[in-house]
Amino acid sequence: MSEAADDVEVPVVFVGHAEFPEGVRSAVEMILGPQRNLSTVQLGPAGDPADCARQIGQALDQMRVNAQVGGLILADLQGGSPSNAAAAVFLERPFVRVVAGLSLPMALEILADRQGRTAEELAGVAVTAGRESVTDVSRALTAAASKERSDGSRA
Amino acid sequence: MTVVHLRIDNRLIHGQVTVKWVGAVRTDHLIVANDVVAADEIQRMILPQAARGVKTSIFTIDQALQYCAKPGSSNERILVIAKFPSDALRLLQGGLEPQEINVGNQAPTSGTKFTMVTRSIAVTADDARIYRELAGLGTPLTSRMMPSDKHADFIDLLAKKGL
Repeated sequence: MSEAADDVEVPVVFVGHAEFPEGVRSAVEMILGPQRNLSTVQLGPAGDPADCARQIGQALDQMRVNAQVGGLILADLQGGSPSNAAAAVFLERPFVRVVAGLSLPMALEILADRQGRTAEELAGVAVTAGRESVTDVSRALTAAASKERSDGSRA
Repeated sequence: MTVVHLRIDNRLIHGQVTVKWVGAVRTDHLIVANDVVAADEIQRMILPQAARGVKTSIFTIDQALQYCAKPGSSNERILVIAKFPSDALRLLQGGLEPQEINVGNQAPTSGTKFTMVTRSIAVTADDARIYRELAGLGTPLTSRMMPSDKHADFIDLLAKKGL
C-alpha cells in the first residue's frame, strides 16, 4: 500500500464472540471519547460464521473501505469463528488487514493515533501494542520496591 | 484407525475446539470432513491456520474414510469434525468407528423450520431423524459444550423438545 495522506483515517472493525466487541468499544470510548470510522461485528452462540463474514463486509462497505484507504479488522481470538470469518474477508479484499488478539491496550493504541497511517502500519502497531501490554504488575512492583530499598541503603 | 472423537459442528475449527477440545481428547490430527468445505479454496487456507499448530486435513467424506482406514492412521489420535449430522451419518455408514460423538454447534439455516435444542444447536425434523439414525448405530451421542460437562444424551434432549 502507498503512503497514506495525512487526513486519511483507516476504518477499524472489532469482531469477536458475544458482547466482547461492543464491550471493547465502550471501554475505548470511556477513555478516548466517541470514535468515528469504528464498527463492531459480534457472533453469538447461534450465529452463523458465514453471516459474520457478510456482516464484516457490510461494515467495511458502510465505512467506504477501498484499496486506497484500506481497513483494519481486529479479531478477538485467533482460530475462533469471528477471526476465521475475518480471514475469509481478507482473502477477498487483500487491502484489509486482520490482526487477532484484540485487547483494550491494542485498541487504544490504534484508535488514539490513526491519522496518516496505512492499514499495514496500523497492523504492525496493533501487534506490538498487544504483545507489549501484558505485564505482571505485582512482579513489576516488587522489583521496583526492592530497587528502592537498595538505593535507599546506599544513600 | 483411532478416531478418539467425532464432533458435529458447522463452525468447524474454532475457539471452543482449539481452546478446550483439542487438549481434552489429546488429539494430534484434526480432520474436517465435508464435501463442500473440501472444495472451498478459502476454507482450505483458513482452517489449518485456525488449528494453531495441530496437524489439520480438510477432506471430503470419502477421503476422510479412506484416510482413517489406512493402517498408519492408528498411530494418531484423530478428531473428526463433521459439518452436518448428515456428514456424520455418512462417515459411520462408511465404517468410521469413533469412540464418541458430540454435537457442538449447528447455526440455524434461514428459511428452514428449526427448534433450538440448546443455545447453539438448531435442529429441523429432518436433522432429528438423522441424529436418531446415527444414535441407532451404537456410538454414544452427546451434546457437551465443554469436555467437562456431564454426558447429556442428545436423543433425550431432542425428545424433551418434542423432536
